[in-house]
Formats: sequence, C-alpha cells, structure tokens
Amino acid sequence: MAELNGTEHTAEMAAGEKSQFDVLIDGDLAFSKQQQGRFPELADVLPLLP
Amino acid sequence: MRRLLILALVPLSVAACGGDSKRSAGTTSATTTAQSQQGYVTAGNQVCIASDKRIFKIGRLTRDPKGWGRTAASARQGLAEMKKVRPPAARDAAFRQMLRYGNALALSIQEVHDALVKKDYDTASAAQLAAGQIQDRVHTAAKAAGLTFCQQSLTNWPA
Repeated sequence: MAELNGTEHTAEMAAGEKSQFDVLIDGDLAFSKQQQGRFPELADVLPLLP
Repeated sequence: MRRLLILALVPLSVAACGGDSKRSAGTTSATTTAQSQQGYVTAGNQVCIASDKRIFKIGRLTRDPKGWGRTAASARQGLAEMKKVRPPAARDAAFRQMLRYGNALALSIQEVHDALVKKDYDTASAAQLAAGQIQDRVHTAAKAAGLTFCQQSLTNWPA
C-alpha cells in the first residue's frame, strides 16, 4: 500500500493474468492495457480519482 | 480515502535457449526501406501490442502443453511480424539483437511444450526458467531498440 502521487489516495499492486495491467478504482475498471493498447500514464488515472 | 488497485502480473516465463540468426551486423543498404524513427517505433509497438493481446487471450499456462503450443505459435507469428519492421540505421543493431532474443524465447517456449508432451517436467521447468531470463533480455534489447511499448516488462512479445 502506498500513497499515490501526493494525493490522499492509496494504491496497491495485485497479481493478475499474464499480459494484464488494469487500474481499478474502488473495484471499478478505470484503465485496461488490453483495451487501450498501451500502459496508463498518471494523466489517465489522476483525473478519474474522486 | 479511496483505494486504487493496480492489477498486473509478471510476464510468464517459459523454456530454454536457442538463438540463431547468422545475420551480419553489416551496413544497411542505401536503398533500404527503413522507416522514419516515429514510423518505426509505431510499427514495432503495434507488433508488440498485437502479440500482447494474443498472449492475453491464451491465458494462464499450466502443465497442459496445448497452451504452450499456442504460445509458441503466437511467438513465431510475432517474430515474423517484427521482421517486417525496418528500423532506422541508428537502431538497426539493437533491433537485430532484440530479434535474436525473441527467436531464442520462441524456441524456449517450444521446448517447454515439447517437454510437457513427453511429461518430462524437469526439462520443462528448466526451459521455463531459461525463457524467463531470455524474456528479460528481450525487454532490455527492446529498450535499446527504442520500442517504447515492447520494452515494458509486462509486455509479451513475442510471447
């Protein structure tokens, strides 16, 4: 568990499937490498945080 | 406080050595069809993205050799596609090195498959371990080749 980029949010890593890199916010999918064909940037995720 | 959960998985490792490629590191012909730097990166990354999607669909690998067989086939496809990409001269050596490691990885995966078919689990395990090490080299070479997506440790090219 770690603080996320100076925000009050915390983030943690969990094992997924091979080739999987998803970002979930409170259990909801916010970014998927498989869907987007790229890895997320902070700019993809930070605006989605409440 | 909200929680952000990032799901990721260390790339699956697989089989043993290999490596061929007798290509010389000679100069590139002046009439080569080398792509622009940006075009090259885009083309190379697209090959890795397609490979990554195929591997994702194959899913988790077990002692069932079928998944390994599909992975090996996907690796050969990924290699063939990457060989069509033409790097600029400055990236040529690194690109070729990446192809050599990619070929070694594909051979290693095939070796895992073949060992599993024979139920030779010791050989399969050793080949899988070696493949994981080769995959690290693929990513390092991809970074040297300037392929920004391919170089990521969670990207599976050629497998």
